[in-house]
Amino acid sequence: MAGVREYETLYILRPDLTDEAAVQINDRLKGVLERDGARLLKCNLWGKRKTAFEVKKHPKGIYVQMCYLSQPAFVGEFERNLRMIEPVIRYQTIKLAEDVDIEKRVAEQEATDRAQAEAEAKARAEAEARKAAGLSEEPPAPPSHENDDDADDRGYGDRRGRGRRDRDDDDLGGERDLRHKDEE
Amino acid sequence: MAMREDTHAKKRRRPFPRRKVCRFCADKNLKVDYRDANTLKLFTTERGKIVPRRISGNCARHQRQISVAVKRARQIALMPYTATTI
Ligand SMILES: [Zn+2]
Repeated sequence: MAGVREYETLYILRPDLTDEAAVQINDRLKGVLERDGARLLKCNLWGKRKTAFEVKKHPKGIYVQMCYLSQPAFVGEFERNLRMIEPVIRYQTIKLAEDVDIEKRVAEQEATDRAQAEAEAKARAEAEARKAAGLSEEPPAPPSHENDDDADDRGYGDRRGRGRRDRDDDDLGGERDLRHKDEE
Repeated sequence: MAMREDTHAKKRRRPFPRRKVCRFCADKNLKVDYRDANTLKLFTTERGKIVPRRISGNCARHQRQISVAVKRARQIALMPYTATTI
């Protein structure tokens, strides 16, 4: 078992898809992950948002983020599946880390997930308390992707210094996309 | 009076020689993230081109990270390759 890596795949689904259909596609992809021995770290449905330009004539798209640990060879297989699923209008995979200790990383992710859930619960409770006290009408801060990303980054902990430099060096190499290559 | 001449000499260079600091070096908690289009937007022109380092004031390391991040964001349609005409 050489070099398990951490990858992040972002894919865009056609905007006219129903929530159920989107979830179904995500489940199907999770099945692919499982079948090939990859470990899912997180799967976030960012929801519908405007794309910076039209993708296959669609001005909007449903963004989905999937982070997983797998062998490098699996990425090709995962992207092959993405290409076969018709509502996927674009995808991009990025390498986040190399030589990952699976159990350690999964535990880390669980810890950050827990911490995030607690923080959200706390924020909600505080907002409720404020509301009850009638002090202010401030709406509770909605859980955002930014928060989530921060949590994820923190997850690298003490390896941060090294990991970041690694990421710099082969950032472009880790980018795997079969549809388009940056000319630069 | 001599002082006044000094300031004049300095003024000749540029009206506002703003000291540029790399934002990402100044704030260690700040990270270059290709998913964060709003932050990356600060380092591109209105038309979507990446702003050179001599203008933005980024250090080499972070400029490199930004450049990669912008390109990734473009690929997944979070940022434009160029301003759409019309
Ligand atoms: Zn810097």
